[in-house]
Amino acid sequence: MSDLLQMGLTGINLGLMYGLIAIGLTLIFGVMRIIQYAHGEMFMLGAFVLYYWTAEFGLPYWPGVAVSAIIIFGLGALLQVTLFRPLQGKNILYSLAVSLGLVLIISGSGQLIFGTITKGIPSAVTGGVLIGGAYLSYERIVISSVSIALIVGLWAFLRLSVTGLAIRAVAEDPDTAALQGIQTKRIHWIAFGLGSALAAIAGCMMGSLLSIVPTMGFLATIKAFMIVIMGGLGSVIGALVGGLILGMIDSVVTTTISGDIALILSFVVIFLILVFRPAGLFGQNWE
Amino acid sequence: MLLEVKDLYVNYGKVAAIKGVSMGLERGGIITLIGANGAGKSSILKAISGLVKPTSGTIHFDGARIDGQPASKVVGMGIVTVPEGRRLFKLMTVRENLRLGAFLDRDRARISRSIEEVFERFPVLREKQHLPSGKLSGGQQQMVAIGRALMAQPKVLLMDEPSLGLSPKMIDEIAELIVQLRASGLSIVLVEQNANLALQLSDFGYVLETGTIAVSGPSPELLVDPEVTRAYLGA
Repeated sequence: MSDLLQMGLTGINLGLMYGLIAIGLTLIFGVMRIIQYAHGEMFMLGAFVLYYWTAEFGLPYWPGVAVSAIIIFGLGALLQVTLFRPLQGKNILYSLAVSLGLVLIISGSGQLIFGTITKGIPSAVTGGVLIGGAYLSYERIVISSVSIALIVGLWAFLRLSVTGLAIRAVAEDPDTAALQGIQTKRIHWIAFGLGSALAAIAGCMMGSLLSIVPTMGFLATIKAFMIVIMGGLGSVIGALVGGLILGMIDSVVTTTISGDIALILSFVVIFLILVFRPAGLFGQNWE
Repeated sequence: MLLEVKDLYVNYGKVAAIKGVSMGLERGGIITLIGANGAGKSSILKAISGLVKPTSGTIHFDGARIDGQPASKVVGMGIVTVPEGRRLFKLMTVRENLRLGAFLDRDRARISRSIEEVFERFPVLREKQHLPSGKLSGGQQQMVAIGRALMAQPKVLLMDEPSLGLSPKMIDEIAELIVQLRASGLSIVLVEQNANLALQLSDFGYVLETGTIAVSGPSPELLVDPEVTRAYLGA
């Protein structure tokens, strides 16, 4: 019983972080209809910014997370303006090729600059609590709370703020959005920056719980795409639910069987979901 | 002239959609563009609203040159589109759609007032304000589309096929509304397939054929012009 609870808690914790990465990716796809393969690299860079901030410079943890999010927001916005804007409205394969190139450049340079040795980000909080026989570290509690707060915050931003409305309008119909006076180019870099910053924050937290290497972006991208396809392209709720499903599978199956089986099982689940709901759990039909 | 188009050309790639069109709209007037599908009516509206860049020619509004300006800027000047097929943000609520109409407005009090005015004009929208706009009937969606355009405090309305796909009763209501909007001081460019209706509502008409103006004249004259009657009014 306590094992089950432990796996459940770990699954939710993992799922929320997966959700954060995937929400970032789905936001970028939803608004720009481009495939951003280097999303995992934003996740990795976010973790490394925090690593240098805390472990190398000895600066406090939480401001470091904020700094990481801001830097990666800026990087994402810059990449959008310089590389992806000229490809807007062209065949999706162009942006796919550019982002694949970014993956190689960023993770390759990462290995040269950061080194290939696994590193760890010092934890912000220590200790933990026993709940019904399951151990829950304060760190995981804090990380889950921050993830939930960010997801709720993003949801509220998209529902209640004028910029959030504009982001959703551009996602749904860019021409008609422009006819309301919305500068679609501005919305593009904001959404790209925001999506990248979410991945960076997830990187910071995942990096604190586990360890970081410059090549960690690859698996994050794969997982984010699995989640986004499962939840429905462009759907924030779908990305959250998909993240939780994948987190739960990862936690339960990795603990009871093995990590490889968990990955295989994740694909089986996605396969089944797509058979019954081809647009994903919460998908719209993007014609 | 409030809005003046001179020698407008629009190309899509190598295809010429508009080939040298000139037209003008007086303050407080209604002009109409009629013609068959693909004659270029919507392309002219898109060139005015800034969604497509003209290949050559000029567009002036209130003395200022606006051709080639981005759509987001043209709206700010007071030229507001009611797009063909409504083009609502279907996943968003009626209220959110209306709010987006006033996207450039920073005055919260005025925005609330404008929403209230739209609800007074179309009471059914008040009840449905929190529903996704995609769930409304065609006529109600057209009300949202017009309401959204009015939220932007327009000087000129570009209406693209407002009667399309509506019931005869609803078409009458939209026609009545266009008359009211004009009376309130708006100038209107009306693009219609329903040529009869369009000519009855407007002062001046332009008949488009494959990107050029075939016939133009005061609407009452076009209504009795034998050629126009034969080709577009189904007589």
